[in-house]
Amino acid sequence: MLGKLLKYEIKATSRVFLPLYLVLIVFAVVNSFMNFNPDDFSTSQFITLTLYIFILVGMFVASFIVMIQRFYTNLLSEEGYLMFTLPVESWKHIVSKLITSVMWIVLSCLIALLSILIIASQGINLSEFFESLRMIWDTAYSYFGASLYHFIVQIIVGFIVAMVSGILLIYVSIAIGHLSNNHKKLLSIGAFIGIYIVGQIISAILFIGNDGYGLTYRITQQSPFPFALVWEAIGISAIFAVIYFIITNIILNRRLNLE
Amino acid sequence: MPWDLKADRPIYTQLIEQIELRIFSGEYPPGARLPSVRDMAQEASVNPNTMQRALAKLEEDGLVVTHRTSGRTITEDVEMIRNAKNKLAEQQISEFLEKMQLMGFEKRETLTLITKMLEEMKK
Amino acid sequence: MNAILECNNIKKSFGSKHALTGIDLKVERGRIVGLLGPNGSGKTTLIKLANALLVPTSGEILIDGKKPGVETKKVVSYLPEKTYLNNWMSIQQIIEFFSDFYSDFNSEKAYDMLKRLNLDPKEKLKNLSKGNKEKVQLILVMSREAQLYLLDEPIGGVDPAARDYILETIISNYNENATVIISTHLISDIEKILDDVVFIKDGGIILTSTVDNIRDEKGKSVDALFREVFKC
Repeated sequence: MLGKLLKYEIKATSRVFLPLYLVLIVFAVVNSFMNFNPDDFSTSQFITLTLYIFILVGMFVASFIVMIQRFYTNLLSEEGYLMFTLPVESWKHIVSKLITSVMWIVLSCLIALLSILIIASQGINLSEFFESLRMIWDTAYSYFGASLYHFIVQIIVGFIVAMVSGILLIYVSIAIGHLSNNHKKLLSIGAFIGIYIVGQIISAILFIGNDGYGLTYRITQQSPFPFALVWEAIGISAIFAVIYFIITNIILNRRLNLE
Repeated sequence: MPWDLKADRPIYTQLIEQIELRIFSGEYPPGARLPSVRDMAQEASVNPNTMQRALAKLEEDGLVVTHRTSGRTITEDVEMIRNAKNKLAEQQISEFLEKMQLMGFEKRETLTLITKMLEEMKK
Repeated sequence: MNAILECNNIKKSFGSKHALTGIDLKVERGRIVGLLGPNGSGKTTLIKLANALLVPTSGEILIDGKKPGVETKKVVSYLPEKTYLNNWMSIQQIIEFFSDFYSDFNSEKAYDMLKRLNLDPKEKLKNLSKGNKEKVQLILVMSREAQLYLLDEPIGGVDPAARDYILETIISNYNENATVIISTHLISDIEKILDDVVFIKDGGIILTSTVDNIRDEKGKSVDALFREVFKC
């Protein structure tokens, strides 16, 4: 069932993203033919570049909006009658939307990167480019040693956990907003801000400690890089994510009240 | 004969009456196969349970017979059908006669009226 | 076999609003039941409870002996009062959707009904008129071979010809293991297809009876009795 939900979720959202990606790449290609000279922008170059940036930003804004809209519209407005009568546990609804949102964000980043490369390719020699990448790697390796891989893994995991936590924070805020009869949106925004602040406070307490000698101090003694500290941060973020998930699930199971 | 069901009387009694009418008029001849309960219910736009109940009563009365493997048929007992038909006719007539009496008609007047109207009907 | 739907002193409140004040009900299989009451009497609340779209404040509701959840959703087919279809799919796509999630969904039946109603499967849901959307929803619900059908105001905003079609569909779908509960305030149209009626007022049941008993004992149609009982 989760697979089926994923299938439909992707179908429903790809109608927005695939055209956007296409347009972005097209504009990137167009821009790559513009032969930019930073000292001398013609008007048309300016326009095409601006449009490209507009679409690039728009793509990420769209990810954000679609994420909210899918959860709110598909689950908590009239479509909720369709979705919640399916013989599927509520948590699968949350997970299918979560996975799909993460997928689109990651894809958006990759496509953005690709588009930048396309634009940059006009002025850069590809082999030079990869050569400089190698140099960066070697420098980094000489600093980190073998723990470079650890670092990279940590960045990727950290990125994903932060994303998941952020998305679930949005979901739980929308779910909390649903509890109100008349002020759903207001309550959602309030919940979002409130939970975010509480999260930050808890994190601060854990990391800085009430005497200044919290985790941060104790762990920055490590070199070359405070891996453990970052893992702690990722861990705390993950715990928050789990809490948001559980609360969202409870609300959907016990406090659902469709119009 | 279309199904004519009134709103203020139980449906199943009306169904019984209307099926009887169809039997007496020959629309459902003796020995004929009846459609399935569901088809009959659909035709009459009624609940299949109600149609089932009506047919069960008719079975009790002997007008309808259920065969284990081949569904329901009208009885082949022509005698019984004729008796039931006559009985219904007598009921209708006695109701009618009672009403005529209440209105103040004498028996002879009633007969004259009936004969006259029957004549006109033939034309 | 146990009753398909059982309510034991079900109460549901929304804050200070008491939608259901203690419902005791047992509905057997193979019946077509009318849940009759004015707007706001609690019919929709009761139906949503049966669908696990709401959770009781107290009391117990059982479908086929089980609490509402994933297992009961598999055997319950629900037609809400509103249109709940998304707007980007075509009719064909929503049929595939139902077919995917409900193992008791009969696509052939659905396409048959679509044809009879002159609806084009390729049509997008968002382009359909309200009446046609409601017909599609009805087709989706009746194409499931469920054990309990919950129809909330199925003939409400629909023209008389469509009403007849809907009633016809309900009858022809009938099987002795399935139960249909129809909630409505338009009684004269559906009276003759109902086995039983339940009158609900202000969140409580005030009468349960078979249609024939009402006509027998009170000598009037259910519609007439309803008007009497619920006189303003």
